Amino acid sequence: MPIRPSVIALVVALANVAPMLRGEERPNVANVDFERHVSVLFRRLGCNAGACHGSFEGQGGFRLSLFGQSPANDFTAITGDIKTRRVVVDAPDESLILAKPSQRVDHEGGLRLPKDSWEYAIIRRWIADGARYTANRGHVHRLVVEPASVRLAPGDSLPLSVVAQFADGTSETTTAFSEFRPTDETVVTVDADGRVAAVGPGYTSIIASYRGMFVHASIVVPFPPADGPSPHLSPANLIDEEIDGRLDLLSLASSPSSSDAEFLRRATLDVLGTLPNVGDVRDFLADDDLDKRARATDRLLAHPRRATVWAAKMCDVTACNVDTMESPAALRPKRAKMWHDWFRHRFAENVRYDEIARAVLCATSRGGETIERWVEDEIRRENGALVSFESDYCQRRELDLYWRRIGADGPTPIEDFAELTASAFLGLRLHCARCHHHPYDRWSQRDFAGFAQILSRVRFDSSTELRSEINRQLEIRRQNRGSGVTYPPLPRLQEVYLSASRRPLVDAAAEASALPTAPGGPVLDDSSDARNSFTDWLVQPNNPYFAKSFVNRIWAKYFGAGLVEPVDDMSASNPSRHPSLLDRLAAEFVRCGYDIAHIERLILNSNAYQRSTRSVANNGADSRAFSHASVRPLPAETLIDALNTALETMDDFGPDVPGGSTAYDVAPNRLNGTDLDTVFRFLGRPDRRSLCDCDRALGPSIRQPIYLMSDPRVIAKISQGRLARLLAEGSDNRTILTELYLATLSRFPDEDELAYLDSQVSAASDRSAGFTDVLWGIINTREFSTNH
Amino acid sequence: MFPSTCQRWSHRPSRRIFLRVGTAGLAGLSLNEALRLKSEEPVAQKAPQAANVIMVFLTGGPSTIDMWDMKPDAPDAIRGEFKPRETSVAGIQICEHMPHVAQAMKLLTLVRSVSHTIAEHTQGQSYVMTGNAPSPSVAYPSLGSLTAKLCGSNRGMPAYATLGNVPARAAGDLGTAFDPFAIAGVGEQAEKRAADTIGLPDGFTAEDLARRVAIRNRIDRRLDGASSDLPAQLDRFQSEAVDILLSDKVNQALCVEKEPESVRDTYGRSSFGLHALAARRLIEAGARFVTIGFGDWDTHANNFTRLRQTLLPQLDQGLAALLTDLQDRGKLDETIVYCTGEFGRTPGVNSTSGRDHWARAMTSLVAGGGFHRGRAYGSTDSEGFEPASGRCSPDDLSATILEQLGFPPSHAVSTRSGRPIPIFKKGNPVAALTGSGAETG
Repeated sequence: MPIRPSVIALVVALANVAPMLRGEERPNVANVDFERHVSVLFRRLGCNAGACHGSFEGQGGFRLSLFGQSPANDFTAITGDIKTRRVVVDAPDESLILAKPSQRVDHEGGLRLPKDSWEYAIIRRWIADGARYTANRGHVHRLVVEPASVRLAPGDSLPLSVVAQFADGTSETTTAFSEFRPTDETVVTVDADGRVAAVGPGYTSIIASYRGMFVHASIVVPFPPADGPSPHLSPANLIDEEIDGRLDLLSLASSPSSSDAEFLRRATLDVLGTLPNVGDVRDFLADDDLDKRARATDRLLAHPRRATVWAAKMCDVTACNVDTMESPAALRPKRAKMWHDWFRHRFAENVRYDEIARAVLCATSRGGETIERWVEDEIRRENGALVSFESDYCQRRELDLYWRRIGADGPTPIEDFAELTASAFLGLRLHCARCHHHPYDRWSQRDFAGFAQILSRVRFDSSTELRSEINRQLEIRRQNRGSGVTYPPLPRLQEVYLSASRRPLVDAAAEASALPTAPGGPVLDDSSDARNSFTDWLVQPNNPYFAKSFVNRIWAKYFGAGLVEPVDDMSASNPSRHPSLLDRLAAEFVRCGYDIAHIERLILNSNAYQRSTRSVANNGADSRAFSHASVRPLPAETLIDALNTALETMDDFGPDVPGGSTAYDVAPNRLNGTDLDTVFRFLGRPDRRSLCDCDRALGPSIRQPIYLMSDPRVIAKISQGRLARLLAEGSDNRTILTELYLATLSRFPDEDELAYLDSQVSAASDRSAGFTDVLWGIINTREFSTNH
Repeated sequence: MFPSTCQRWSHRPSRRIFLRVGTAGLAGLSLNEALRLKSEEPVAQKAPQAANVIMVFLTGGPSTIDMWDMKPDAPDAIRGEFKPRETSVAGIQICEHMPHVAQAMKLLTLVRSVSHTIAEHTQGQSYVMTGNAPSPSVAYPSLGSLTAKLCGSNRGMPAYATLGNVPARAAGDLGTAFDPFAIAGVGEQAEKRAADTIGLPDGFTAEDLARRVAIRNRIDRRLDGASSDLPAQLDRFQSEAVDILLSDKVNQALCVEKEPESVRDTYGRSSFGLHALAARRLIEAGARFVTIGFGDWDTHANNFTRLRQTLLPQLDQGLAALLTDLQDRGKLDETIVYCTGEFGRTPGVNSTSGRDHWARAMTSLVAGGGFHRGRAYGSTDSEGFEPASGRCSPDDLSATILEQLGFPPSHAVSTRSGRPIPIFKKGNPVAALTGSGAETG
């Protein structure tokens, strides 16, 4: 398709935009305003960075708020004490805020503001006009970048323009006062004035920011067109419509579909976290129904193992961490199992995602039961857990374990819950805003505090009602002492409940007056449990985070990375790899009633998912537009389970999990009494210690090949299990080799492979040793240890 | 493209395949970066003064005001509970609870004027471990990953290894190929080490391995045409893994029990002592960069008790033993020892006898590899709030270390995507810390 940058439309759009700002050229500002123009220049010039005046104790006696988060304070710092001569209205050039950064007076920070610069002129004018301040005049309601999306040829350049719409209804071009940042400098670069230059092919974004608001411009730079036509397969569903559209914009060819064997192996590894059985591979390859991939997809999605893999994923997402669980230590692995089972049960039933989220977010221990009933159940569960991994916890409506966390020095800080909850259910990393305005997103510390206040009445301890119920139980036991009636031991119980009073904020204490507020949303009703009002807001169809963040996680499960990556960093400055696709998937998720399996089915049935990893025509250079499939490393749990499925063996994960567990059944984040804990760690299984979904090591390490080549357990397993059985059955070499291929690589060996390996086995002094060598060779191929 | 100046230390040419730097990548540099790269070009690079680095990372932010830069004349609320003691270098005093390091002071330099502004663990760790302030657009590599990329590995040994729990140790945008060889721990007894034993199990000979690898290589062809980075990366890992398994050097190096009892006693039997000894053995076996993660120094409460009872005794004995041992074995000249945390702690003692995060002034320790010995560089004000002289940043210290290895801060490495980045965006070597520099501070 022809490459024609849509520049003409842009020229029209940019006609009334400020020109390039250099030297004497100045932005056209009618009335200089402190918030809109002066305070933002402090940021652009670096004055209020943490290393300079933005430090909490200032610099040289002069303190500005970090990144200009508090213009009112900055105004006071500049004008509050006339003796400082920071601002001298009658003789603007003598104002220290001009004289120092222009280095007419000594300035430790060096030359920041040359006297002949337009920035100097702006600040000078503000002073000369009387150095006035109108609070909130610079409060940005919406930020717009133009063009919002554009296609450029390599070598083209183009100025971006930023328009701020202020809360008072006015708007203004603020390009000169904005900052610009590229997300992929191999595609497009941008200078300080917002001029982008296309460098190489690809799809990327430029982030523009002004006064703590962020917006991005999408830029497509096409690849050199392929020789000859290479039409896409006809779209399977909305995913292909979106992806093919992008490929056309980029002039990229799409790779053909993978082979049947590749498809079954890929989908099984992704859905079930292990390899397909030999029988399933044979049946699938022999099936000549044209619809067999869709049928296989349905079978995989209905398989109980799918729920196990999701449960492990959700334990990562919700930070199921035995080190933050209540005593006694012996029960912690059991609690982790309850947590895992609770999610597994829900995914097996394909419970709507909004219901799952609500049952976590709004959980209390009693969950609507009477205190007597809950205490009775809890005594039974706690005593049962002392002797067994079996529990009816998954029958509970709510996951109170999410809130049953203990910090290192007492109760878990509210801020920790807020940070984790934002990551898990909104896909937002609010960490920075705990202490100050988020440097890469719109969130202020007050926004964070408002969010934290939603959770600040949640307690996990011994409530008054619980104490009196325990006293009642003790009294019953005392009265019946010697009567022959036996009672189960009374464990130490604590409950998750809603308190009348708030726990204090620590990091965000300065903003503790904030009312419970949804991030970027309304102030919430706190008359009962603000978590309920929050969840009501969250699951509304037009919520900007909820559906998107979860479809993004689903996408990441099937493509190895989210459309937004990291998956829980859906900030305005970290745009999606394919915004319209993410939007449509999220809308579809809402439309179908938060049906997780439905979205998985769309993905698995799409051409984009089923493509070959081999490149065609010009798409070898693409790694981000889904023109071909990528070769992906196996997650730690998948590698271990795939190995056991292939070899017909098991691992012993130690005393913290029930016997017979697979890697995905393992609930605790760390294991005692087994070396497999170390294996998990170096293969990249997350330890869930952070308050974000960021602990999984991405990509393989050298430890993986060393593990597969030399781990004593792996070496022992190769000659046990399947190989031992096949040898005992007395099958011939080619039959055994064929089954080994089906079990490990999920395909038939070709004639060359068969002939070569047969000769290797025949040449070996001992048949068993010959096969051991061969099977070692197979599991150490890259074809085995990757998903492709 | 990038002359490897640490080549003279290599036992063989590096097997690395340098990524091609496309014109796209070059044009992707900001003007500043491009000018800086250019301006450094004609300047002759300093010859390498060191070959290896052992980094000791004190996770959580050590209270260096109680360790290396004491303020005995400050008010009670700042001075804390410890007293200073004399060291083997006249005029330099350190904490009374570090008698061994005091003895070894003549081997090392204290940099008492390190200052930065990121007083938060994750970001601060990333900053100090990489020598570059965290950035949303570049995931900077740890110093160890950088060294692995620049210096390559010796046959059969990973270039970069970590011992214990080391934060921010990964290779970032350089790609996982340069992630560390992470060793979870070295136990006191051989049986506790089982999971970390690297080598061929009993009954699996080198001949077996060679025969099996030949089979694997013959049949591992299906992914050759795939257009992803992973197969090539795994290929590299696999051949390195074979080298490591055949040489058994890692495993041997981790067998600290092979050391004489007297040596083991010198290091102490604490986990830090074991790791310090293992680090020395790894370096001697050919590793280039070993980082030890030690402790929980985040002493918001009971700072003095925790330092006195657990943290300082381990550090004191292990660190002093490491320095002295390297010196005795003639390895200190070519091996840099760098001991730091992500930040220091507040000069003011809080209400729970703790100190909180303080990044604006802290002390780091450097020794060996051409660094001056027996000196205290820089200083802080009378109450330890800010550097008073010789202010430098983690970037600067990192740049000094890499310069000792032969790489100026402007030296470019290319990321996975082919984008060249200068190894340090802001760091400038502190000339006064090393051989040729004049002493100040």
